[in-house]
Amino acid sequence: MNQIRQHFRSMLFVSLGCFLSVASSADSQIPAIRVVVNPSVESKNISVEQIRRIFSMRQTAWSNDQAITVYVLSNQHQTHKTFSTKVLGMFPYQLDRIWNKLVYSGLGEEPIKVQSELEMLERVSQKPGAIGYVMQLANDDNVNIIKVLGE
Amino acid sequence: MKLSSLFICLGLLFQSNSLFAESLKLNGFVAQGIIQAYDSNFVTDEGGVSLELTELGINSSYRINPSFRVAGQAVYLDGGNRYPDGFRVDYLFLEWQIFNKANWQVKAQIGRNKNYHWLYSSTRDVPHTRPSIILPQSLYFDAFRDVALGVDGLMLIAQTDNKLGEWDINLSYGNSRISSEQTKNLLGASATGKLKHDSDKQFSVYWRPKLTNFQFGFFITGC
Repeated sequence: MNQIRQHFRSMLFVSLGCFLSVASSADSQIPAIRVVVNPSVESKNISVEQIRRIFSMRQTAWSNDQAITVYVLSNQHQTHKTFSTKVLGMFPYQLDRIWNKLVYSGLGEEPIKVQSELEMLERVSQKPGAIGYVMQLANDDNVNIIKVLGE
Repeated sequence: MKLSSLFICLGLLFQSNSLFAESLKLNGFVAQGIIQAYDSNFVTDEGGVSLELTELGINSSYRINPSFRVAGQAVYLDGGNRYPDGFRVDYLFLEWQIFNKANWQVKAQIGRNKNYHWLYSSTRDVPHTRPSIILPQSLYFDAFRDVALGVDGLMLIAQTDNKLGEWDINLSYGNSRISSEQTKNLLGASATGKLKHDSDKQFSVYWRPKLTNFQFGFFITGC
């Protein structure tokens, strides 16, 4: 037992993780991604750090304490790829890793996956506090566009 | 010890879809590998090609209300000589979201918790979350895994974000059950009696500088 205690006491890790990403969030060329929220969301704009935190399921409440529900498209969907690299500045696999860690360690929940942009708009318009993203947006969709402020 | 380059890992992931309400989540994984450790009894006594690299798991998370959530995962693992094979409850806890603001989150987990203190400790048995087939034995020593999986006890997790970046602060208190095979792996085949883990406290802090993919952390443990 003493052996184990000794081992435990002597365990002190300094870990350094370095994950290089070449994805860039600077490119604001078309096709434009629109980040959409349910009309109940008060915020009109959002910082890049904040949107990264929301989509990595780290921030789960808006600044007025309203719960955030996150909707995403599948990894193969072009809109998801563009949103991930251009808006978040991360590759889809990096997001996947974060979500997998949450789900398989029990630490948190992953976003809700939807099949199409149409379903995305429908679900975001129905769920208070919801956030999602699309490329196609019709005028009669009952969602608000939230502006992502650059770094 | 050399691990063979012959690794075939078949994996299958499944997850719940809209069949379930948004408050109930169901996910799982199935993975079967082929492994060989030459001139070593790390996996098998003979050092031959082996299928003893099976990892199955199913987990579920149910949100009772915005403050409380129950989450659990059951696994079946077979890692040859590395650890006792069989089913076990990997984690099962009640989570209480004590504080949830845009820049601060504090939660407590009561029950069987995962070890969130090391980089890969919380998902060491989940194949698609690891960077390698087997985690480096210098840190994730299988002969010592029972106490590294997590604790039956209490876990406090705080996450905050400020101008410097993202911060994770984890504190756990509890103990782990040590199997008789683990006792023998650790102390030798002639070990008799039972090895018990006293309750201990573990603490870790991680920092990710703003908008970078770097992560710095430290971990302290004490009885």
